[in-house]
Amino acid sequence: MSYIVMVLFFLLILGLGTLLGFVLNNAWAGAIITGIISFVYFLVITMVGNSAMMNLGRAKPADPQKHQELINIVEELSIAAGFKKAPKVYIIEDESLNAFATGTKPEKSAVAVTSGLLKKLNRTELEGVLSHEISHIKNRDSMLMLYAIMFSGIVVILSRMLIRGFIFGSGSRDNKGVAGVILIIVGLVLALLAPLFALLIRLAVSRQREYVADANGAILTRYPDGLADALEKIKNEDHTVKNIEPSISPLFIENPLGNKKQFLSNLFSTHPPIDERIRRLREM
Amino acid sequence: MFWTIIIIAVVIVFIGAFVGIYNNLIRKKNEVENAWAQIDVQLKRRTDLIPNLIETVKGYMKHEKEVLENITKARASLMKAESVKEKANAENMLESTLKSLFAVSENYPDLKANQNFLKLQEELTSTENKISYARQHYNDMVMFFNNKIEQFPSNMIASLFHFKKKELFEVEEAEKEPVKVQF
Repeated sequence: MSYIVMVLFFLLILGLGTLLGFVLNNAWAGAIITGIISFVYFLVITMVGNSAMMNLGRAKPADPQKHQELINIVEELSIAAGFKKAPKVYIIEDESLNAFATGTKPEKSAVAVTSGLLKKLNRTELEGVLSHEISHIKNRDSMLMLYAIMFSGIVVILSRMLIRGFIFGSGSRDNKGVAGVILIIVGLVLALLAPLFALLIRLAVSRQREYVADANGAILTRYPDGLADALEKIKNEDHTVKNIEPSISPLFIENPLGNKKQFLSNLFSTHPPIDERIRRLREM
Repeated sequence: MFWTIIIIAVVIVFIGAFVGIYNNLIRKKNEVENAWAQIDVQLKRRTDLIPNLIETVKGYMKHEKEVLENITKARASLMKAESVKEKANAENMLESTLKSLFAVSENYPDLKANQNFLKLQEELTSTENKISYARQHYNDMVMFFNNKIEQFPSNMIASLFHFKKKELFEVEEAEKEPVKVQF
């Protein structure tokens, strides 16, 4: 499933690139150039994606002395999950209660928690939160999200270029006839919809998978109430993390941008309702 | 001609299934062995931590000689243990002796204030958790492997190549009983 979404994403980018090439009079060049750029970009993300995500989330590596307990919990849970190597541990200096994970595979992954979360949660609750994050890494949600977030940026840039290309494009439209006009209209609609499509992929990825990660976390700790208690605290306290890049918000255990009460925010919300998550955990 | 093609196709499918099932069994077996190695790493880590703990605690706990001796004994028997069953038993013994040490340590406020002791306590608690998580993972892997050995059709290939069922790392009966509190 994860891999199918990734292939779709890649095809979308390739399609946009080809279209851009077509507008600029060379569809093949467009396809080849976007193909090469995406591939290089893919390799770069695979290599330095984790630290890029941690930078965007203002996270700093944890101190082995000061955060001994946290690092121990992460090591314990990665043994439960059967990882060969524990994820790196990061701290976000922020009073709010939140956490996120990233990584293309268990051996190359990282988790981050806010200092507020460390202060307010006890060991069992921390285990609950981290079991959820470890499950995201194990289920490859973190991989998919990492690529989805990074490539959404490319989709947006490409469609902006495409729209600009249509408006200021070189005057080749005259000699292509009706077919050319139809293609251009289809392309224009696609270009307008592409960023929305990228957003929808990101949503599809995150909402259902939060429930799955909660359930898998409970399988690791064999104690669903730990995570349920933690979510209870996260719900009642502030979980808006200050000064982070908004595009990484779907990674967090609960929306770090704050819950705006709007129709659109409900339709496009990246996180399932926290009450529903708690209810499902309590019923296990 | 038609039948030759059919027969060849069937043979190819059978060989493919055979190879697939055999490789899956090998993969499962290696996962079990790897999970076992992980338990061993954590058991070793704990036996290494215990001399430190005893060194730290000795000065404070003059009247708890018996507790400390029990820990040393349990540690020695864990180091000698070879099979899964022996290790499981020794590990249970060590776990309960450590629990009683941490219980009596509540009576020594000076010890509870010792930074070194608190650090060791966190390390031992964490190692204890790691052992039980490693055990949980090991038992899951053993279950998957044993299922494969008993289920059709992989059981045929398993018996052909003498795959044997693996032992679970089981908790002793005594530990499952509720703790008796005496006043």
